[in-house]
Amino acid sequence: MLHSVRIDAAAICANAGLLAAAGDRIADVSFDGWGHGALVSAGAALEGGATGLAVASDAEERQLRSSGITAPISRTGNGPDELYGWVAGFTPAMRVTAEVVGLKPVQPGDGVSYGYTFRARSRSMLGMVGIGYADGLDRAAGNAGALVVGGREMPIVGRVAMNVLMVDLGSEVVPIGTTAEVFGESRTVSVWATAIGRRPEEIVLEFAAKASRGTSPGANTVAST
Amino acid sequence: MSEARIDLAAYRRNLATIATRVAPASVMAVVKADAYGHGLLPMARAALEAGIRWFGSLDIATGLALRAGGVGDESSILAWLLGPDEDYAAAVDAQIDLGISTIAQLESIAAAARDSSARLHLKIDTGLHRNGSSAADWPRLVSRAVELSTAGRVELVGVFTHIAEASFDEDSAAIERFHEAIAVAESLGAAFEVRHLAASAASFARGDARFDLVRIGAFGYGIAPGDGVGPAELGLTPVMTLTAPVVESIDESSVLGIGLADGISSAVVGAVSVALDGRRYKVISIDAGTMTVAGPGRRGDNAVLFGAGLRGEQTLQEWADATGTIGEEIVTRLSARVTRTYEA
Repeated sequence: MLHSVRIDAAAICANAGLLAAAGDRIADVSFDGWGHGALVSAGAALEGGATGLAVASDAEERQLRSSGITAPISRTGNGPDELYGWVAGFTPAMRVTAEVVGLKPVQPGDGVSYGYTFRARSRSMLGMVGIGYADGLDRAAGNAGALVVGGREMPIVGRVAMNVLMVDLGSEVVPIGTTAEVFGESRTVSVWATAIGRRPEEIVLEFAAKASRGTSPGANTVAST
Repeated sequence: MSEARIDLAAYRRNLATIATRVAPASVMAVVKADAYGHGLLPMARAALEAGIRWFGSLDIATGLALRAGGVGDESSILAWLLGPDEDYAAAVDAQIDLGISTIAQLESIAAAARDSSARLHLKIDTGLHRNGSSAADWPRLVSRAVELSTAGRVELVGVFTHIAEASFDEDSAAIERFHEAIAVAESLGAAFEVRHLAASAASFARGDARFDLVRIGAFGYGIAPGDGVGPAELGLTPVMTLTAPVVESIDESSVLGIGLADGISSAVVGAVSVALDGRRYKVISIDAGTMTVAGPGRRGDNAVLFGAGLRGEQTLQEWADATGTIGEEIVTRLSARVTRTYEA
């Protein structure tokens, strides 16, 4: 798999537990559980301590009911940020990663990617990563965001292309197949969103939409508990 | 429901315009990323009707989907983004052409080729610094490919590169490096059916970039490169028109049934307009399911977000310019919540 969008139902369960302890027992599972899957999210939240669910439409309510959900369902919840771990203090329920699929040494002055918007200032190793804007990784991240490789933030250099991007690994040489994380374990989606000037919810929805539609054949979505 | 209306006649016409422009070079229709969000198989079938016999799938999975969807053996399909653990046997069996950059890929593919030989395109890096063999590694890659070709394990079909479209001079330098790489390969005994370098913009702009085959994604869909150049200047028609219904009318503003979950970026707020009844109104807010525009509408009216400009709407190009991106990103973002409908 060139990249993956992984859903961790246990994180939703744990977050729902923290929220319930703080008095918030309505879990917002609108928009297909904000991209995490409505049923997976509802089940995990109810197991974790939620006593009711919130959705955005009648169609979403019908879908839950037809799947055997009996908990009260309303139209107003307290938002998705905490339940899905988009903010610090909660566990991220979605993790987006991609593989390093190629390595490319560059010399000072070498241009990188379309339009040569980045030029290497020193000798360095670039990693080509199998994810791009058609997979949900905003083009705004070019020369702005960073991916986490081997525990360190490696800047995205040059323009993000439709299906690949380049990160500057500096003096690191990593094996082909090494994981580059966008968010979900070493940092929250909010950190990524702030870096590229977007909102957490659109980032999560977009990665989920691309992975589940299968328009991004390099991707898999895995729900795990 | 939000809807993307796809004008298949416009797509065929754009491809024909491009084919005329680049002749005698052939046209590869690039249908990666679900045909840039337009829908893989409808677009591939329209391209077949337009006489296209080369398809760019990006990856093997999309290539296999094309074969299963009716793109037969008379057409070649090229996949060039390959992961470390690809199923090359399936690709070779389906006669998917593979674009490779390294000896490791070459050896894996040759090992996987069983009943038929693997069809290969060798990629040289001419300055983009993504994939592609370096000039230093090139002779070794070519020599090994020639060896395997002689042994009947692989078939050398093409040689290719990607260019940066950074400036005329820098692209000229990349074209020169491509010629040099081809000369080196031929001196080592390689013979190629097709040499290809150009994508949409370069294929239109420069004869010396066309070689035998050009890879056409954006221009086929009527997506122009920007910087003041729109589709009309190129003789192309935008293929997609995006609409959404008014779901609520509040005072002088209208709420549309399309939002972030449909794949619209929050960058549209304050930046773009939509057309309601032929008049343009600014987008003033967006959330997961809806966006609000600063103008009156009746529930059930259909707003046109972008299209060919026939109903007062902005074009995709205007949306891209206003939100600091390119048309390709806007159309590939659209999610499955947006219904695709096709006009033959």
